[in-house]
Amino acid sequence: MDSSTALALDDTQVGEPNVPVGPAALLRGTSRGLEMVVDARAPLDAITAALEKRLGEAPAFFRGSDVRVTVDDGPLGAGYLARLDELAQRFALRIIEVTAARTVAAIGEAVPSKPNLAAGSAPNAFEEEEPTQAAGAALIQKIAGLEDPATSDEPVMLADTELTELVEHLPETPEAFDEPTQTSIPRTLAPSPEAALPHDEGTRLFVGPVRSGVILDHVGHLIVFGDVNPGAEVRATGNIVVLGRLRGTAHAGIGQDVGFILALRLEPQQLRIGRKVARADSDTPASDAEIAYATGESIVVERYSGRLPRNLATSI
Amino acid sequence: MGRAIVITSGKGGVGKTTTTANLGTALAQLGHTVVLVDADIGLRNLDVVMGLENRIVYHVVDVIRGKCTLQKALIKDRRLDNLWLLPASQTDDKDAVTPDDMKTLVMELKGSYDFVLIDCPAGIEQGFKNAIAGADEAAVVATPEVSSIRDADRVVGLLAAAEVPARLIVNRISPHLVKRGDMLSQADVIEILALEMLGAIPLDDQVIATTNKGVPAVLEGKSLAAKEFIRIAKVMAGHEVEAKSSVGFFSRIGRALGLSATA
Repeated sequence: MDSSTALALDDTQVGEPNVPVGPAALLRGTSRGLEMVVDARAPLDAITAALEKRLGEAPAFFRGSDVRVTVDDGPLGAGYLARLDELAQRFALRIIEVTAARTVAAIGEAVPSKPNLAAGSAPNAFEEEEPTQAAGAALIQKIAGLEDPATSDEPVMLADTELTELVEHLPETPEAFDEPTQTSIPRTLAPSPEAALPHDEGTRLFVGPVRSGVILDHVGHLIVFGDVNPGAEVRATGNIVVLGRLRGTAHAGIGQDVGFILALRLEPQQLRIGRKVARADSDTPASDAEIAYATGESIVVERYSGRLPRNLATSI
Repeated sequence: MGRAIVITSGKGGVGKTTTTANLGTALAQLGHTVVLVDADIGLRNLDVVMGLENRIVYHVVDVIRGKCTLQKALIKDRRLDNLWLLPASQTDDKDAVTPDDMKTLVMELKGSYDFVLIDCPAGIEQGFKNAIAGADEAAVVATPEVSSIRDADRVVGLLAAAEVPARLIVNRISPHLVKRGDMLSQADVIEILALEMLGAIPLDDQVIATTNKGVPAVLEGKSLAAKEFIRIAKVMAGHEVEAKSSVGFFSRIGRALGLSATA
């Protein structure tokens, strides 16, 4: 059960003044792969030294791995990620995701907060594993975004409160559209403080089911094999394809105006494309693959007939 | 080395404690040595359901704090010689125990018992983390209600993250409500949770009656629910079971229950 064989690397901290006791950085294996946990309050040198030491013990073992970086205790200082990236490249590692552990609790879902690495308390396996596995509400931050101190506190995300309010005010009976099988009232979200778009990380394949409470977040396109259950959320800056039932919430085209959500069974709690929000207006189960996309002011849902709708195809 | 199985659900009131008591009793009746661990620190119930509350002297927190030995805190069942209970504390809270404590404790129990059944508290907070810490596998109890299924789904996700394999027990299925289409069927539940099914316990007045008397329903043995508990216990223990209930509709379950009523 304790797969996250945490390897504490706290020896590099000895003698550092004004630094909390605890490892500056951890390297560990999780069920999602290799993970670097970085204490943002530790000095950069301590972090790199700790990681370097650990990676240096078995460079061949780590070579070519994808690694996720989890930042504990606040935003990383300027230049931290550049150094981490440099370090990763030196050991032929690829940083595929940077998440901020602390934002998990702030966003709400009953996701246990990340243990404070610096506090010296013995973190249990469960807590260590959970935020990465569930991806919590962890926000993908791309290296470029984090390096800029101005944006490091405001990761790429929607203003959740605005969104909630908006949804609550959706009228009970949505307008009818001619073509779509499911219609909804789309709303343009208030301008959100979105930072410049992070670099596309390509397409992510995820083997589901995505269970309640889990938020999948990706920069790029997202393909889910399996169901997205009620209470789960899948988000991508690109398009989302669910090869299963989509019963939770999906948000495609984050930070953009175009994007589509395709599912074998589209029975979502809510669909969001870019800044538009739609709520399914019926409980009738879907019987065909359907595709939802944004046109002008609305989100339309159509049966997926094996090709993208013409107006959508030209915009992607 | 025995097996540690945590009985969990996320949602409260779906029958975790009743399930723990009955499966434990059924496993003991099958001849295995069983210890039931009440991990619901501060809100202990399992002792009441087992009818053993007046025998508690020491509890799990005493053991963890080193106030007494593990042997002293274990209570032998009144009816079965190979069934034991480790009661929870009624005065402490969940923080009195850490996951590491539980791991050590469960490991020790696994050394002397075939089955360690851990009754998990509701919720997904500290108590849940403690309860699953030492478990080798989990039985997730869900009733056929959307709220219960939603919570079970979340719990299954957390169990997967902690690498505890989970199987499903659907509790309180009402055959005639399912037939009328007024209740989710077990097939609906499985469809969402996508879990291997251990069994489906029918809604049964007998269970309520016996539970309030402090006698697990399987000891009376006559009711449909008791028979299904016994069948599930056999599945857990790897005994031959004639019919499997993981597919089909309730009518088929009914037959499966009838067929397996050998105990």
